[in-house]
Amino acid sequence: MRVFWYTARRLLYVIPQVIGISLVTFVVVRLLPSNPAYALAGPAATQETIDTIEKRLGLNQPIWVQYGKYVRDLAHGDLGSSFVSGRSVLSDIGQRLPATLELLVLGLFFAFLIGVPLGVLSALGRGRRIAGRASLGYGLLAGAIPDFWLGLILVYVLYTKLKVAPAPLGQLSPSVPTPRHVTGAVALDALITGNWVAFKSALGHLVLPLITLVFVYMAPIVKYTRSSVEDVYYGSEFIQQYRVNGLSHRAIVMRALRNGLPPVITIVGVLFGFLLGGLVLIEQVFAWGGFGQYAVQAITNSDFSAVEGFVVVAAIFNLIVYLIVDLLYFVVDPRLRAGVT
Amino acid sequence: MSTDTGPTASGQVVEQEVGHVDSALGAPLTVAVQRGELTQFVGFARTNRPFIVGLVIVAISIFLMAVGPLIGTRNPTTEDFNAILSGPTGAHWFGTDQNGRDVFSRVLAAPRIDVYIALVSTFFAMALGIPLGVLATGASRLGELAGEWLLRAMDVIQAFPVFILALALVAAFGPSALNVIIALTILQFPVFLRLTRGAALAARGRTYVEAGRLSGAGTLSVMFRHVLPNSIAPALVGASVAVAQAILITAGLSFVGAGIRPPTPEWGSMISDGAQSLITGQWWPSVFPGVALGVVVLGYALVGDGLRLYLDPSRRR
Amino acid sequence: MTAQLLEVEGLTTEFESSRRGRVTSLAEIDIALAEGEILGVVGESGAGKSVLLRTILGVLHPNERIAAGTIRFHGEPLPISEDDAMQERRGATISLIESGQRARLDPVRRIGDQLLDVMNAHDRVVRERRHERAEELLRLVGIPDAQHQLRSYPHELSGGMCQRVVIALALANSPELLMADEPTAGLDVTIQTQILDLFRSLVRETGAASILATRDLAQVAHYCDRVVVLRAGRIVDQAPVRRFFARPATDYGAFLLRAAHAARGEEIARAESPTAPARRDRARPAADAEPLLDVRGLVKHYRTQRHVVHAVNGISFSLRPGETLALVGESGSGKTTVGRCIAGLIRPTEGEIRLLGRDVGHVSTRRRSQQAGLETQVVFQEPRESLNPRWKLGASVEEPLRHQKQLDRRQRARRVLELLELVGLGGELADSYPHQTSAGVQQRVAIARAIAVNPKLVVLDEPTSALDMSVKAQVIDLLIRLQDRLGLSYLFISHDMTAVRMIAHRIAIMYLGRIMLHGPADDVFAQQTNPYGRALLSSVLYPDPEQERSLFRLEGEIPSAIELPPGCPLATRCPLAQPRCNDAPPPLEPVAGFAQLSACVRNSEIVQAGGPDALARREGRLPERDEPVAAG
Repeated sequence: MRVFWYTARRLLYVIPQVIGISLVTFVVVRLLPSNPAYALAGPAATQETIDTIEKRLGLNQPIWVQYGKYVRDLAHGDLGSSFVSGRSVLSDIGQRLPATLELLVLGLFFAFLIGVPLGVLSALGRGRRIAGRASLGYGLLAGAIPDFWLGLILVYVLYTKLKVAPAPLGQLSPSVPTPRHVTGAVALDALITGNWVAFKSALGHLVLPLITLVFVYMAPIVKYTRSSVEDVYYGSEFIQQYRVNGLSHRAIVMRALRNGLPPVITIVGVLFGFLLGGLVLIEQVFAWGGFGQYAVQAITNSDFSAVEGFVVVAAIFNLIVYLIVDLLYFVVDPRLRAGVT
Repeated sequence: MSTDTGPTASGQVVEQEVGHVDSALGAPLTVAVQRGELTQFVGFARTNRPFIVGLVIVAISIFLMAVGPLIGTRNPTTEDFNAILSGPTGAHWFGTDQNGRDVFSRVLAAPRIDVYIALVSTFFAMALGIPLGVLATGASRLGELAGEWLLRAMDVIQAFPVFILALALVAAFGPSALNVIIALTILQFPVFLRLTRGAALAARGRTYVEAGRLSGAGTLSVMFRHVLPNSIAPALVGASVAVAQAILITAGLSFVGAGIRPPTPEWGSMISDGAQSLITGQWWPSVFPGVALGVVVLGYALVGDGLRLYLDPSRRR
Repeated sequence: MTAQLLEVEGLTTEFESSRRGRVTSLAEIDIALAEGEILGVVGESGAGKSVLLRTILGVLHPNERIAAGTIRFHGEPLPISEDDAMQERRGATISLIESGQRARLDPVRRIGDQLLDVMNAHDRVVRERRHERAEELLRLVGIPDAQHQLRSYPHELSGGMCQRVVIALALANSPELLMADEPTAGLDVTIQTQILDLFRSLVRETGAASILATRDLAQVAHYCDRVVVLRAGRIVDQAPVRRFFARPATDYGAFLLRAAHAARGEEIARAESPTAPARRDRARPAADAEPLLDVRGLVKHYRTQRHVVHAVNGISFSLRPGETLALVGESGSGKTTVGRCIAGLIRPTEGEIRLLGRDVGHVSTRRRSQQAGLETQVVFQEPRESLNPRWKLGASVEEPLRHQKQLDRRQRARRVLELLELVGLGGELADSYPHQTSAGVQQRVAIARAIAVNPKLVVLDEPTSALDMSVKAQVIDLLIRLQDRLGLSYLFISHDMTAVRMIAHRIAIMYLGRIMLHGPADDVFAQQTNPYGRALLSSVLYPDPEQERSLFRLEGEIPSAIELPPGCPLATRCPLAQPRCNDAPPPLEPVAGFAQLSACVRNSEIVQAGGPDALARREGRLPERDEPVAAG
């Protein structure tokens, strides 16, 4: 019941943020240099045609009327339609998003699964001096290497030279037919429909982008786990109490981890939000055809509605992730449940 | 033996008896004397090798920012159609790209853009974020309200995924170095605002601020003499992280063609240009700028880590 | 010779310090402990008390190493340097209670689970019995509603209750040796007494042997059989409690005992130290003098998001020039809030604060500093916190002078040196930073800053609570000298009755935002007509095993200031409470035959019976005699 009220309060707080987001998006996108009416009408169009198009798009109206219309549409889930493809932006995004999410969720899942134990090990494991140094070095390296560059290097070594990886050209080999559409995420769809040929190909194509993603973005997870667990272990009197009580080292480490988890949850949430946009670069390298590449195309083409839709969806997605992080905190920490800060 | 000796736990403090001060009560007091701030810093740096490495890299990056385009073996933008995609040789140390430009000279010239953009945008972000951060703690009732609104606005900016907002802003302003700087400043100043505000809030609640008020200090005096000096450390540490981040974002933007466009030498667009040849087996146009980019980012990160350690309050208690 | 449970022989430990190399932390310690005995280990901070206890438990600091010696338990040597082997014994046959209250408990695990953890870690309680045992333990340490509390998290309990849980953890596996290291540090006095009483009765009941390590000789006097005095890791004195307190055999023992007495402002200090002024000998300010400060009906409520905190609920008092009024009380009594209102750091919700006849309660600090010329200054509790860490000490002292703008730079520099000298510090300290000096020096600097602009009134907010025993006495002496010399008035806020006894002319004892007892210090210390005053003062231990201790104790915890009891704030805990106590808060009224004012509806009954103890005893609410004090 408390969780319910907490969620409700938290949602109330989201509303002004969504309004702010829509406003910023609207303003930024209106600053785009080229006039979409010209782009749409083509180079040979007369002034008359352009005026008609401007009128149709509502571009001749005062800016605040345009904003009002924009918000109204947004509230109805209408993100407008792409000037380029002529299709609804929402459906375009709906088609592209699953590919990105598949990569993102899998990547962060593995990063968490491997990163947290590594962090704990380097903080409190038996060989923590060496492990600690190694994790420090790894963290610096992963933080300095641009992910897109690492992706390219992997392609060069494993595809061009060793020929063990598939060509970096999307989610499937061109020879394999796309599995029946269920969720839009290719590997998942192949699994659901039992299309093993497609599944195998999809997994093969996932390997390189996943390695890139996990190598670069596991670093903050390791780092935060390590420092948080270390802080709890060396800085908390209750850990001393556990020692005095005669609990085993292993049991104490588990309890330190339980207490040190909140910052790790936060960093995973932050990474999720960051990568929703940041994945653009990796997608570009592997021609992934996801959400990020859609954004790059839209910006290159000055595609008003598409850019708007993309930015708004990403920001709202981000808000949802932060909401989930807060709720997880709420579940993890009994002090929050009691309203103690 | 006096029980009133200094609890000088910090490793940097040299404890020494400066003779006994005869107090009015006849109680001997031991006084600890400390080395100056600069000596202390040098002493710290000397024992922290990664920090030195970082400082050297940062120094080189700034040097290249100043003179990089002038010291390469060739003109970084001159195309040589007789030497397209030639591998590393004595003539072209890092080889040439698909337009026959000398990769070595271009790698050296790139900091003029990458490092410059990162340093300038971080400077603006700090100049904007730090004072606003102190003010956002709300000195008066009005300030409190303004601070609240300021924070809500930061929430909105930070709700956007960083790279997406950068992309959208640069697209909106148009791809040029100045516009990337503006976009990065908008992106990063909320970080400094928050860092400073957090520290300022903590500092403002400290007893010495109350003591200052009781001494007759006015709001501004309290803010800038007591609060600001005690809340700037997180922003200083954050600065070098921000520079590293800014370099990566600039390169990323250029990689997708939204930031700096060729033929201007810039690491991200060089990597992007070389990507096609990489798949066909010519690795050098992409690999060298990537390594340079990584090393410079690493340098700033190392300096950040060192500063964090140096300014850590638990270290200098 | 009786069977020895614990024998420590020639124990020597070394500490590897990065700065000072190898330091001996314990040197050739020999201790023997019989079953059923309570041994007190005393020494100043850093003497090695904690190291000794933790070494016996096998919990060493990573840089700590055992250089020599053995520890035998039941005649068998303990493998103290083997962490794994000691782990089986820790919390099982040997356990340790340390201070820290809530911080000692895992914030995200239920109390019951934490008790089960200890039992599961060792196999000394049958698996099926463990849950039952957990409940039993909570009852044993006096936690009401034990069954329900098993499901509580630490943040749902008060600090005192958490410390009881820590004791329950130590008792869970029925240890044969129960050690306690400052188990009551940071708790309110009335709660401290409860915890120590509990500790002693548990040791007596279970028949375990026990070690109590403390800085406070008074605790040893009242709760131990034998005492060991540690100094810089060595045993310098060892004796049965009665003999030690009657006549310490060594100089250092005598010194500690003298310091303990001095810290309680007793006669001995004055007899032996000519510099210590005798407070009561001093001329008291004229009773008919115009009051410097006059507080009427002061109320301060804080509004938080969900609640209203009733910090101060209508108090009145006045202060004459040159006088010290002590505001005394436990946590939540509102004493600090009163001080902050008077200093102008916060504004009262209701009521008047008149300084020299002007109402200053609703004037901002800044305006006050301009108008009244900084007539009120404050010395805070944490000296380190009250000095800007980035300023040299001289700059901190100079700050009020600079804002006053009457002196030029050179005059100010001269005045700073003068002020430092006045508080007993050398001028070269002006160029040091706070973190380079000790708490005692920092507090002197804070005092120098407070008196820099010649204030009339200084609010001393727990100025000695953060200081060691001997430094505390020095600082109080300094304050008294300054008062004599400069004619200052002090509002001395403290929970430390011993400090109050040294400095106060008058005392106002507060509880939950009200004054319960108010009167001249001598009168109040001699006899308390008010139940709360009685309970508070009888909780104060003196370093004397022969001290007759009243059994007049309060039950339970201090209620929260969010939901105040409707009537007398003490009604929930008072042994003299009657149904009518819940009707309305009692007014503060003169007590016939005393110079005191007391807030209690049973004033006249108490006086007739001859004091709160007598009345409680007559009503059967107090046992006849105290438990026999230490044997031997």
